[in-house]
Amino acid sequence: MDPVVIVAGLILLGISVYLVGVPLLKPLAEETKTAKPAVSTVNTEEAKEIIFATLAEIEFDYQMGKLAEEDYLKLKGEYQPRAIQVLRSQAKAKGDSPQFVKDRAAIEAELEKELEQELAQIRKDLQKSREG
Amino acid sequence: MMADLGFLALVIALLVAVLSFVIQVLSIKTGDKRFMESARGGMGAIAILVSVSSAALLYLLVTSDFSVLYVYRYTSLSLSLLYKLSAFWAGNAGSLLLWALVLSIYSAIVANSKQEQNKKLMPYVNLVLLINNIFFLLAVTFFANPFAPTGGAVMDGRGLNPMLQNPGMIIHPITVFLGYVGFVVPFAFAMAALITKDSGDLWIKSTRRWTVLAWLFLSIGNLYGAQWAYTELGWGGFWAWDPVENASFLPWLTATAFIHSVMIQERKGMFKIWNMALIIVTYILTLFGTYIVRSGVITSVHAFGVSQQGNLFLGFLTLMLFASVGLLIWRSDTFKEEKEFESYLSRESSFLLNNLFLVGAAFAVFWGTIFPLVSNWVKGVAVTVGPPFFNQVAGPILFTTLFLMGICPVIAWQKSNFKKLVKSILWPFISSLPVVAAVYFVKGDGQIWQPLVFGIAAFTALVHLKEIIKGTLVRSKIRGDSLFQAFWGLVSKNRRRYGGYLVHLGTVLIALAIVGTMGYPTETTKTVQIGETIEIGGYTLTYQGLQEKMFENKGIVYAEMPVVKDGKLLGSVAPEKVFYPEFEQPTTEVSIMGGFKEDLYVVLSSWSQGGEIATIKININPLMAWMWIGGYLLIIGTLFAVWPGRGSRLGPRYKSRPA
Repeated sequence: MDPVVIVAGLILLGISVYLVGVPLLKPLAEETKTAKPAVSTVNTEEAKEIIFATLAEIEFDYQMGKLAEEDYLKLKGEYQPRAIQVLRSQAKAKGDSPQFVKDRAAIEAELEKELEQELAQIRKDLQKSREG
Repeated sequence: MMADLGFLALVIALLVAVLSFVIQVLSIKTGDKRFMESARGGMGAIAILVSVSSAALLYLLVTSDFSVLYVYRYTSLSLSLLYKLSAFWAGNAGSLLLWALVLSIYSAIVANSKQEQNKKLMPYVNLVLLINNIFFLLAVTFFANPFAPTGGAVMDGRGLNPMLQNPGMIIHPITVFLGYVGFVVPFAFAMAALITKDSGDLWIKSTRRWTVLAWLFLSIGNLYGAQWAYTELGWGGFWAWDPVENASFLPWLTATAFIHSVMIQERKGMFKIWNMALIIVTYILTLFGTYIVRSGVITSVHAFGVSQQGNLFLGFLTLMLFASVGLLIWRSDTFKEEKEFESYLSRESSFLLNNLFLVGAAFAVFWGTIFPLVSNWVKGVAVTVGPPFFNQVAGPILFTTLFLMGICPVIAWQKSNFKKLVKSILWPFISSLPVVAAVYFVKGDGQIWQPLVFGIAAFTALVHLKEIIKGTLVRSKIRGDSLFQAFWGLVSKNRRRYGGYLVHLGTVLIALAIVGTMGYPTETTKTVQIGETIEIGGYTLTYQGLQEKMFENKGIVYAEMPVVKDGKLLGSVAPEKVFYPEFEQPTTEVSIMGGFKEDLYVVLSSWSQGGEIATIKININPLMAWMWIGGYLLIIGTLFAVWPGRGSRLGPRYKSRPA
């Protein structure tokens, strides 16, 4: 075999040994504690996105005429409380401050009211456009 | 020298793959992250090594090193650079190396992707990928070595088969392989989910882009293959239901079913076992495809010929089939459905129906493909099943799927109302009836299935267009946006849906081309003297004799014929016969005068008396151009759907348990 090939082969072998071997030489790392709030905030954010996307799709399907009013109201009634629950979880994850604990009931009521107002506005706009 | 280096790189890659497999097993047993990182590094090393080996083969091909058998067999001194490069995958050994290359690169990317949520699955994903890498490296190193020597001094090569000297050679094999190999990724994740008893949809979310891109490449590969057959072979068709063609169509069918049914698992937590089964079948079918090509068990124009590798591939295919199905059965208890069907009139049920039809079509095609093997085994005679069987069985199934494509978008998830559904599809349905009538009466040949398919295609297209228009109007009214803003907001916020609609519209156009060309063919073959005309479908062609020219090292004989229609000169066609120095038989180069309405497809079949007399074959292929237009729409729609960023992720999720 050509000496150039042997040298090239050794280089390739060296690269392979490096890529496979170096990680094995690292000291065994201790498990580090991960910041819980960051992970739970990400998961809650994703859950919020999903549940609001679901509500938006239910609303859109209804406006597109794919859902009967009865089914629309049933689905909305099923997912709206979950949206509120997710918002609560997110608010709680951001900080369980004494102020938050104190005003928790008030904040929950406020969230529910906001959600209803948004949906009512959408229905109102659509009603107007149908009449118009 | 380069041949030795190429082979050495393959051997080292195989050793590294085996070592990485052992290290990966250790990482699972010990939980030591260092073993995991080491295995990841190993997969990176495999990709580098196979790339070096591939580069070596390319170098040998480009420099025409005929001391290497593969270079001798598939190239010659006179071959252009482009075809010297594409000769890489012209033969069995080179195409296996290409598979190993794509697989190693995909594996390295997957292993080194930073996805925190996949931590639990990754060790097993890597294990499955490494098993595949080991197999293909074993096959190419010891059973189909592309670096084997010729054994003697050779001045020139045999040259590339003239039928492979077509632009399709550059695109078709590469895209088919990118598609085939791509399905190993979702398969590996599925196996990891089974092993770890992860019954969620994480494995689907993690591999969605891989799956869709693999599907896209396979779609492009199939379409370019059809185009190549259409322009190269001269028989006027684009799909012969050849076993190897079927072998690339089969995983496309099951992958299409899979792409749709995983949406149901993501949204509703249903079809878990079904989705597992679909990806297993898709992956096994990719192995089946390569088995057919390399074993020679079924006669095909695409086959590399009979080789000893057949048993090797059959063995691996069988092993993976039994292992994956066994694992699925063993873990089936863990994968419980989270929801049940709430209504038979729902998008879930329509998707299930769509799946059943696609899998049914796949079964029909599979049965027709292996029938020669089965009949040989049972009766000792290989009975070949031809296009009539496939057209009669698969055709209606696929066109029913086309109809379902028009129903699904207007059905809501979870539960739909029958009256609402009828209202949604009423005017597209009514609007499609004149299409059926028009085609039926205009063509006047009494055939009903072609007008029906035209009607179905019109219906499906109108449903999709209505969805887009209505959605735009609804959004415009809700938000007060202009129509353009509303349209862009609508499609960009849900690219998965509207990219999918674009793919559906592309599929409709392809279906139109298929039914137009196959349903209403016009053909004539005429022997003419100089000055004589040929009339077909309103066209008049005048034979003016033959001419000759040289191009590169090829001798070309062609017949330039002016084309007149309705008294107007449209241009001329020039079908050819091309003579290659290394090959006895000339190839046929078709001349196509194409338009949106139809293709005028002209072939110079033969001649005598020095060209005084020639036999010309002419086809008129209605709507053929729409196949390629539909193909481009399919590509754009898929890319639009999977492009990273907001709007490509699945949002809604209908679950019975709290989020």
